[in-house]
Amino acid sequence: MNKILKVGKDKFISVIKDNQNLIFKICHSYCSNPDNRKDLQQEILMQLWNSFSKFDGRVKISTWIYQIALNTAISFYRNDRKRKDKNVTIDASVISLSNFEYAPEQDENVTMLYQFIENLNAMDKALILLYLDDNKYKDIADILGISETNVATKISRIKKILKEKFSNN
Amino acid sequence: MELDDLKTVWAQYDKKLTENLKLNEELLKKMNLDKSKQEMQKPLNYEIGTVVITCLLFLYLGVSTFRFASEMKFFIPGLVSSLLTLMGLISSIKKVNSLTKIDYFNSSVVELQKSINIAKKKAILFRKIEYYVFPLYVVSFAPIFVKAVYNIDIYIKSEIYITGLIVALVIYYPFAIWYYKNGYDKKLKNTSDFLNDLNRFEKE
Repeated sequence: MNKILKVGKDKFISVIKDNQNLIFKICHSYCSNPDNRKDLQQEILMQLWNSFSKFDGRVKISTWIYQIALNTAISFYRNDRKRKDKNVTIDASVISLSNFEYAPEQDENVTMLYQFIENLNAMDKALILLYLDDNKYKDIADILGISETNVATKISRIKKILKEKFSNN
Repeated sequence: MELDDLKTVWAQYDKKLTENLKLNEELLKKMNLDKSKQEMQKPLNYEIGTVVITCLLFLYLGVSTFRFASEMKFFIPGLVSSLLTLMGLISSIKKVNSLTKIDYFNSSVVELQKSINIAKKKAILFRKIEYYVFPLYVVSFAPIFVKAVYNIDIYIKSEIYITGLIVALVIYYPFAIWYYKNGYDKKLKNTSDFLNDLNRFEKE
C-alpha cells in the first residue's frame, strides 16, 4: 500500500514538475500579494493531489490542471481577505524562480500584461490565461463551461480593450 | 500591440519560466499531502457529524413528544421543537449533499463556481432563519427536554422561565439582527453578485 502511494506521489511530483509554469502563472494572475500567492500555490497543489487518483486520462493532463487550478484560484481569490486566519503548512514557495536575475517585473510587456490581467474579473482572468497559453477555443470552452462562440466573442472584446490599453501606454 | 503579439510575448515568458522555475520537491513532500486530504474533508465530516447528532436529537424529541402526548403543555412545545429540529436536519443533509457534489475535476469552472456559490447563498440564508428561529426553539425545546431528561415540570417555576425568556429575547434579537447585518448581509450580496456575473459570463 505504501509502495503504491509512493509511486503515486512520485508520479504526481513529476506531473507538477512538467506543469509548474502553468500553476505559477495562475498564482501570479490571481494573487498580487506574495504571501497569499504562496498559500494559493499550496491550495492548488492539495486540490490537485486530492483529485490525482481520479485522473483517468480522458482529457489532457494540462486541461485537468487548468480546471482544478482555475477553480481553486477563483474560490481563493474571492475569499482572499479571510486567508489571514488560515493555517499555512509551509513557509516557503514550492514553485519558485531559481534564477533571481529573471523576474516577471523585468519584462515590461509581461508586467503590463499582468497588470491588465489583474484588473479583469475572476472569469475573464481565466479566459485570457487560457487564451495566452495557446489553448484552442474548444478546450477553453470545455474548461470554462461556455460555448465556443461565447469564447470567441469574449476574446474579441478583450482584444479591443487590450489594444486601447497598450496604445495608450 | 495586438493580443496576438502578446501571445508571442507570453510564449517567450513561458520559455524563460521553464528555464528558471524550480520545483522544491522536498518542500512538496513536506506539505504532507495525505494530511491535507483529511484537512479538506473537515467541513464534510463536520456536517456529517451534525446530521448524526441532529438525527438523534430529532428521534429523542419525537419519542418524548409522543410519550407526553396527553399533556398539551409538553406536547405542543415537543411538536414545535421536533419540527424545528427536522428543519435543521434537512438543512444539514442538503449541506452534506452540496459538499459531496463539489468536484474540482469533473465540473467546468462556471458549473463548479455556480454550485459552490448557490450552496453558499443557501447556507447564508438558512443561517438567517436559524438566528430568527433560535428563541422559539429554546422556548419550545426547554419544557419537553427538561421533562424528558429530568422529569421536571419547568412550568412550575414559571416566573423564572418567563423572566429568562424575556431577557433572552430582548438581548438576543437586537444582537442577532446586528450580527446578521454586519456578518452575513455583505457576504450574501457578494455571493449573489458573483452568481449574476457567472450567469452573464455564461450567456453573453
